[in-house]
Amino acid sequence: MSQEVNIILNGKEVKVSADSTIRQAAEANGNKIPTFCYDERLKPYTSCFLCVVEVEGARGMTPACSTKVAEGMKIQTESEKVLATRKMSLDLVLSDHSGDCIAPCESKCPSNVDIQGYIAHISNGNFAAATKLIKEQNPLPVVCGRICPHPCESQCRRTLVDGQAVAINPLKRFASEYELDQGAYLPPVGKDTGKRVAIVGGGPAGLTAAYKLRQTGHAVDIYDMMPELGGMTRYGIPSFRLPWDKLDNEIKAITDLGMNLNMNSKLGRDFTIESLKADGADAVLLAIGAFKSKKMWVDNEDLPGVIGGVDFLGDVVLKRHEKKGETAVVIGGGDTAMDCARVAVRAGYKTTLLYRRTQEEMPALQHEQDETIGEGVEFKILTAPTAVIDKDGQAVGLTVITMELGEPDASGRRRPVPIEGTEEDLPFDLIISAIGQDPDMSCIENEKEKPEVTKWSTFVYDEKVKTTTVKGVFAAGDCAFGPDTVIRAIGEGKHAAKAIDLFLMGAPVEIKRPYEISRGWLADLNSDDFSPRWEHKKRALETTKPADVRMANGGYDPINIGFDEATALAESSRCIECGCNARFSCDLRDYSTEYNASEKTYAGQKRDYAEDTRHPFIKIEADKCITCGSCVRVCSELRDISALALENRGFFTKIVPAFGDPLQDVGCDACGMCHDVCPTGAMALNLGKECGPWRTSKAITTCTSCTIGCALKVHSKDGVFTKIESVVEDSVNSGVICRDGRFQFQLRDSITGEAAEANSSDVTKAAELYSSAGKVSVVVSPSMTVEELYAASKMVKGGNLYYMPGDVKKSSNKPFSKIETSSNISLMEKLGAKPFAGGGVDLIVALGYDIEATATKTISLTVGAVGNADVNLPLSSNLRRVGFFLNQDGQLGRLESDIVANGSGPLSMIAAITGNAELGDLSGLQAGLSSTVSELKDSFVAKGRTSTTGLSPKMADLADDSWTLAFSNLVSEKGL
Amino acid sequence: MSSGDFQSIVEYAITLEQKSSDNYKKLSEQVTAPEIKKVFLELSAQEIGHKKKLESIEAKGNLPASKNIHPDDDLKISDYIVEIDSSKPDLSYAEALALGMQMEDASLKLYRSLATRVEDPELIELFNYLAKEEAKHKHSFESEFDDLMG
Repeated sequence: MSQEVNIILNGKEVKVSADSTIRQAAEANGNKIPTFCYDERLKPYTSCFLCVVEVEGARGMTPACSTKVAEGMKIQTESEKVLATRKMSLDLVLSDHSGDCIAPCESKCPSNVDIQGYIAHISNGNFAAATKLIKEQNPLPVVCGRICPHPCESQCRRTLVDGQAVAINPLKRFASEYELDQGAYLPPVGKDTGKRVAIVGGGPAGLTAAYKLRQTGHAVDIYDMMPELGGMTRYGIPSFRLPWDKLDNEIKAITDLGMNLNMNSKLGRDFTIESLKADGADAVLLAIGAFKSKKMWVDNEDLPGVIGGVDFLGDVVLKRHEKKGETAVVIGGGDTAMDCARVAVRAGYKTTLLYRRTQEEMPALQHEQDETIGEGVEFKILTAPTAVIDKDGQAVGLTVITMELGEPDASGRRRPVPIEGTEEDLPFDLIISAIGQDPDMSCIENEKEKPEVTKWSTFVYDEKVKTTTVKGVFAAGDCAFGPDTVIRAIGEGKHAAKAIDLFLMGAPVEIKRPYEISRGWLADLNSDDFSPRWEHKKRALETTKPADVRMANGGYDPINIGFDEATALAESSRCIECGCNARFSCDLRDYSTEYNASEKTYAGQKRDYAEDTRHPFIKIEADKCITCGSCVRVCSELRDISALALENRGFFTKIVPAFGDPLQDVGCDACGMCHDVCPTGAMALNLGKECGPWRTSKAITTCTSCTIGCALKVHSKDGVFTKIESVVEDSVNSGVICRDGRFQFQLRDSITGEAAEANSSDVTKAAELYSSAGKVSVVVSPSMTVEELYAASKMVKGGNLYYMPGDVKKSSNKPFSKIETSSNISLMEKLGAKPFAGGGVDLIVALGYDIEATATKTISLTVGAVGNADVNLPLSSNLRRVGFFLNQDGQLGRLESDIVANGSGPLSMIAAITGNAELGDLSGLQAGLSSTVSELKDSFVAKGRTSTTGLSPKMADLADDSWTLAFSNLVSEKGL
Repeated sequence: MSSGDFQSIVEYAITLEQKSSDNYKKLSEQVTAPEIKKVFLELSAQEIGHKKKLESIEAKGNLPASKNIHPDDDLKISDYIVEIDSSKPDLSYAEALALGMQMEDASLKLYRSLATRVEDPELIELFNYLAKEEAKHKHSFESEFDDLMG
């Protein structure tokens, strides 16, 4: 045992090993030290200066990674000076860091939906996964797919390629409606916390909050003044734009998480905030929307015959509107005004729309304007009402005045100015004022403890955490931020739920947005940098039905047709994936968030380097490099290869392949360790949308590509493997993995996944061959688990268990490389396996080999089921298997997977062919092995990744099996 | 124009600003909603700011150098807006703005009218200056109201 010393760490005396660095001593005592350049597998480097601590008596700051502790050393790891120095280091690193942590579309989305991520899922045909991802931020994608003004598209950089944004909203509509039709995904409800939240208002903000709160385990009671949920999406948007069956189903997928619904229940009339609390609400969310139509402030507007826009739309939904005469006028230029005009036309009115500015200034989307005009609404622009004409106490028309646009004022707006003497009277039977709406705050008039209200009739609230001026009362959506889009309300509801959860759990109510750096908005970028890099493709369009079709049958059928599957797949390919691949694993981003660092502190010139994508698996994005040197060191120090170099000095330092040649030409063997140690997205995997980026789940498994049996951290998302990384603390092979270990997941699902499962007739044929054969021999492969070997041995009938000797292949002399051909055959021999001889039996079953024989029948299990046997069956990816693998040291390595193969795993195949379900039962096989092979008696009990056995290794050179050959083919196709 | 004329006219303008401030203060006491009380108190304080500016001009004895800035358009909202009952206890923000623009409009019209009734170019310049100031104040109310109307 090494000697110990006493140190004072953050004021506390602790004993640590005398050999420790300050980093090791601090971390052993629970104090995390940030770093970019430290890696246990490498020598300390301290280039990033992020690991600094204060040591009493030392001059300046001390790097924790390289400084050894000494008796009596007094160390501060979190002092103000330390934190300020780290922040300064980060500010400096960020000052010339380039990239986009997240794509601009996501940044622009008010609810920050991971658009790049869901488009990647769509491009893979995984529409359910796309919707699941959307619903993490937005539980109403079908609603938004129909009506969102999609601010995301306004910043889509595809525009810089071929002039048209990716059709993001139609893609969302397609995926989410596809999912809804298949049966909506319901996220798991959280474990009951015993806390109860009352949500006042069942519109987008309230429903979103309810959806998120149920996932954190809080009980939810929704109170809504209307008979049905949906708020403005139901009562303010006509069903020809947002069909009610879709709306109902989408809302059901929220309420199915379990919540109490109190409909026709109005705040201030039927209950108060105080009564909700008295009835057991631990928190209250006010999401009452904005349902009070703005006044026009003209004479006689309170007369019968004048109605607010949202009141009119609501009345029509509730079938309360009684037709008044023949002509209607709508005042306003926003979406509500368009909706009012279109509904008025459908109600049989000859309809005019008045707007006081020009059509160019109308806030309504252009296609809404076009469709409204197409349906017969007359637009009268630069016209404003000055009075409602009164005849016997009834509104019979408007006095209007012509407007002109003035010069831009200090705010830059050209405001409408009336032209004196242009007044005229226009007769109308119905006057609909659709100039906007405000929250109706009369509902809180009688509260004892009334939340404060702004002069704009919204709640005074903290925009980040949605707290009002009353403790435990939160506000979100139109009543808080002011009337805005549905997606904005959704974002508000989402954050409110997060804040309420923190409040209920007694945690500080703080929400911190992760650090984001961006290359800029569209206006800051040059299309010359984008246009030549991608093939130009036209944007796909949704089909809007012609006006006469839209107006047929009363006009309430859906007015447009979304994408079909083929269109969605094609359109998703237009996404140019602006967001960084490392967004979920970037140390720079995480530390910048933690230390509130900013690229603006020392704003200056940014480096601008083109991506180096010449290597098929590894991409270098040099302008994201922070010159920590870890990739260069791992390549030279650990792998003795030196394929990477930092060229130039200072600001111009650039990470490049040695001599600037393609990586594959300078000795790189594609181990990808440079990627693992890169703290940013500079050393990236050169992969496409098939790998996300997504926030993944991770399983630690054992590589079966060679006899070493390294640990692999396998990332997956919704049924797709996305990345494999080394495991730094793994003792096997010093935590280093090779090309085969890292990129084996590139044997895509079409070859090795569920989609490639055997068809039942082949399995039946194989089973018939097996059952009718008197004598059966079985060939096993070196990458099989011990359970699979054992099951294979049980398949033998009167024949032999064989392994397949192979030619000796020389392994690379670089440290930690894959060991070719040499395999530990000790268990195979224990189970009776011999070198393959063949013949003398009725049937040979080859597991992992393509086998051809003339005198006997053959069944081969190979990757892709491409073989010459009588029956060729597919084998799943190694990454889809569970069990244990025997390595060269006689250790068992555990195989785990988040995506376990069902039918195509070797055990399932053995069970299916033999008709013996026991041969597919993992724990039964382990029990059998424990009792049959005494050296494995205690080997299956251990919980860790590796366990010991009593098997003495016996090495032999075996032929490459199907997995190895398939991967070799893949890399040679890639030019490696 | 004698310095006495200048002084007395500016003093009159100061009195008008004070009256406006007092009026807003009174309205703040009359309304019930705290957020609207606050609006009127802010408007009252704003008028005191205008008053102080005039006091500074009075002390210097001359007008500040005129800036060559294109004046904002007269949005004429106050000309067409419905009459506001200023005695209501539940005045809204829009109504507060409407009252404000109407008060500023009255002062503006007064100074413009006075400017036409005198012949001394310096007096005309002074009244025009005061009218311009009121027009700026009116525009700030009207543009805010215009924003509220979408």
